[in-house]
Amino acid sequence: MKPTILALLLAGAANAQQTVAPTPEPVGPARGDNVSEYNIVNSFETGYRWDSVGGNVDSYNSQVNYGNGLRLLSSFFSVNSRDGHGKFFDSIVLTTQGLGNDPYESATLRVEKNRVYRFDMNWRLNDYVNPGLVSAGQQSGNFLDTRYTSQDDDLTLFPQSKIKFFLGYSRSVQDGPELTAVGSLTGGTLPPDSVGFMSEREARNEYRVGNEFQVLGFTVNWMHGWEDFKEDFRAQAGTDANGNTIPSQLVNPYHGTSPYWRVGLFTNRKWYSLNGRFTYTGTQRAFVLQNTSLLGGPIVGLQDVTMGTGQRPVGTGNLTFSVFPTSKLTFTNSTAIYNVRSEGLSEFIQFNDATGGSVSQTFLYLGIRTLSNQTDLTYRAYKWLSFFGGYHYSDRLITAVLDSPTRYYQTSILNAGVFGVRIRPLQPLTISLSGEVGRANRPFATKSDKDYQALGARVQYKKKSLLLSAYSQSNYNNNSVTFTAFSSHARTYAANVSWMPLRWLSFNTDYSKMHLDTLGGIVFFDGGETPTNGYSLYISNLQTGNAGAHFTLGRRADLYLGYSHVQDTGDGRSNPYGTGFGTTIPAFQAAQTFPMKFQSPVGRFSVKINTRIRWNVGYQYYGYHEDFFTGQVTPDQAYRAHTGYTSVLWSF
Amino acid sequence: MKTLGGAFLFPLLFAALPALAQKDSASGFIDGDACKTCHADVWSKFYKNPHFKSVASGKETPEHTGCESCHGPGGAHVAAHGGKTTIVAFSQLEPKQILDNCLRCHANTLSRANIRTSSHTEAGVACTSCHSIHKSPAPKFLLADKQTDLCYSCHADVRSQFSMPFKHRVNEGAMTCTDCHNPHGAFQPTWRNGERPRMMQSAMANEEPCLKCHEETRGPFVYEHPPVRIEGCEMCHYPHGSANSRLLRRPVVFTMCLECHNGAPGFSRTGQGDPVPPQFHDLRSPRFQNCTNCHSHIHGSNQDAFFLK
Repeated sequence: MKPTILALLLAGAANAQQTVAPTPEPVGPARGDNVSEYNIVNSFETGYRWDSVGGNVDSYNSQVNYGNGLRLLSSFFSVNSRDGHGKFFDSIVLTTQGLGNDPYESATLRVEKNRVYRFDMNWRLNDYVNPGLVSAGQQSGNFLDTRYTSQDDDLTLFPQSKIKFFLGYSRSVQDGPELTAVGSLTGGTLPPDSVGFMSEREARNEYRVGNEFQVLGFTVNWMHGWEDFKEDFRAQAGTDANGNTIPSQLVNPYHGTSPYWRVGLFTNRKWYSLNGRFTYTGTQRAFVLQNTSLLGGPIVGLQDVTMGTGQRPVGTGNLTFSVFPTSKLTFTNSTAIYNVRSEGLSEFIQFNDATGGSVSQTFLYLGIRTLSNQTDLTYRAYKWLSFFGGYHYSDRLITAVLDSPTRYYQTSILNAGVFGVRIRPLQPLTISLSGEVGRANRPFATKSDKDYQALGARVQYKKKSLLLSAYSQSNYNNNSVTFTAFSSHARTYAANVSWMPLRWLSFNTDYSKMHLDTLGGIVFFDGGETPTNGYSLYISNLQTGNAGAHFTLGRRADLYLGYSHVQDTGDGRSNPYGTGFGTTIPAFQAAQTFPMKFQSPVGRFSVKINTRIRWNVGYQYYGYHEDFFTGQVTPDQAYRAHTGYTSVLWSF
Repeated sequence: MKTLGGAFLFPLLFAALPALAQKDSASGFIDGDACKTCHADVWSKFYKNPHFKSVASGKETPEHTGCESCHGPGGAHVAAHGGKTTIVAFSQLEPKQILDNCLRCHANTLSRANIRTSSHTEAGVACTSCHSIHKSPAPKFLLADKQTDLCYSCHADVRSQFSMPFKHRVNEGAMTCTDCHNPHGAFQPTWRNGERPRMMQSAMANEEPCLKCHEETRGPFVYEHPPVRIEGCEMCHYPHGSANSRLLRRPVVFTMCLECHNGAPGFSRTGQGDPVPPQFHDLRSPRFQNCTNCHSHIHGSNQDAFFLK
């Protein structure tokens, strides 16, 4: 293998993924076998993955979820026509990962015949345990499995011709729990024990057909698609999987379709480029909810039926015009428009077996129209120096109907300026400085951007196998009104070193610190009838470090050692009920900061048995700990997990 | 014996190169045959390269065929017996020149319609920064490395976010960066106020890419939670990774909700402020601190104005 290829692969290994398996090191150069007019390359890694978890297993399953068992950890299969004139195909490439019950599985397939067709398939599965309740330090129901699978299939006919045709089909299915209320409202409140996890199934099917052709110097690309969606939810009265009482029966199908059109046209010329994209999506959905409490439970004798249809047409348009009057100057103007409205009909009927009755509900109208325009100018004064600046304008109109016929309108106008400079004083050294300052006259929410500024800097030095980079970004936003104040300060610093000093040694390390302090006014009740005004000051100092080193030991063995550490030191207090913020001590101090630690050292040893077989063994530890919530009052979410694998990688 | 044979054959081949280069002396194109002599290592595997299509086709013009489609006419290069100054050598080109070269064939793709003005191009990131044409270890797209590692090499802060305990499963291989981002430059976003973020893939109606997988949040709902539509998912979630469950921006739910639901005038769709929780919500009771326990359909509901089901 040429040293450059080896360096490339090993640099990748040093910069490798956090998970211990599959093994990234190849057995050797993939020459493959020639069969007839084709070359076939085949490799697969099969092995056993194990785990041993202490502490909160549900928490582990929510965050990591690797288990025990035999796996096809990865595989690669390719067939290539050696003259490019295969009878039915010229190339097949198939890759898989994690098949055989890993929680994260995927497969990709590409089959193509030059000039005739290209078929792409991408399948994946994501299996995790749903983190039910989401408050730090409280009972978290990490006990229900959620499985998401998706598959995308795309066929392109005549991919190298000036007239192409596209056909596509996508499907995704999600099975898992959904938290919902199954009782009926009484005086606007839910009865106790009426909220729980129920099984839900969502399915999406999308069909696409499109075409691309060239006319008058423009490439025109259009696509028409239909996306069918259905969500089915059913709760039978009785007890759920955890023994909790389900007091009523609930059936809640939610089905619909979203036909859409997308048209794009674009041209790239020497001194200008012009492109546009226009879409229209007309989502329609219908729903029914039948909630019966006749079978017993906190509220007996009520039956609710809600039904209706909704429409959500969305029209969007983008038009971008760029001019390159000289090789040094680029002028770009981009306009985008977005128009969406949610509207429909709905009816709510409540039967009371004692009194009878029927109530209607109104589908609340919500419309958003956004028109934005950006003008940017880039000037490359020298090869080593360039400037850019721009002005961005946006006008957003929100229309809402809550209680017909009253319509509420609000318009928000955003003016923003961007600027920056890029310097390359030496060939391998690049320095970028950028900034954005914006003002919105009417932010939608207290947390929305109002008076904001974003400043960034990036320095990168790249020479041969050495990469040094540093990055800094600050995002400040101030959105204060007379009643309350909101300010958010986020600063991120990151640095990265990646180097392969020797053919047998490469390493990669990075560090990042993300600081966030957010001050916001909150209003709450503490049992009395008078609301309490207070402030929420959330402070997070999140530090992350990753380090990995790859050693090639002799001609046959590879060793990878890595360590990942995530720690939020919060605001520095030592207990959840610390000294508080200034003179206005927050009422919920324990919620203002969340010190935690998550670490994951990893080691992998791999030996090349011969030119076709490699044996691998690896170990990875996961440790999670919340500093303030260690089980005295509530279940401890901490866990310690030892995971590992051993495998054999075969290559042909 | 091999060495001896090589010692004789190599000068002979070298001497014959100018003769091989006579195919189209006017334009300088030599039909690529001579390239195989010195660059045998590249040629021997070139049939696996997507660019081999241009050779296999047999119908492309010389400037769109094989080696010379990217490296330009090879006549002078052969006549000079090699050298980086006699041919288009990508290692010697400026990023913009590399882009121009690649776009001669790759411009006619909708996903690359904005590549000339993308943030990557403006920052001097050339095609060959991420793609390795002759030595790609990746199964598709001639990537110079595994996709996530390529992105992480410049975006260390993003790598840190995917190291969090709660994250989209990118490091685990279940997702890739390009599921949500378009590294070749995207159309201007239309969600939020039409400002950041940029370089985003978009769902079918130029909406946030989150909707591609989280279809159940698309709506329409009888009762929309307006921030979801107006400010987008990032109002409450970190898209990459978070120290908090469900990628939330706060570890405890009620603080996040109450930062908006404080009645401050001028906000919300009515301009009268987001409603304050009614008085039976004793926020000191754990029951009421997990707002989404009861308000479980927080992205929108067809049944209940308070998103209870």
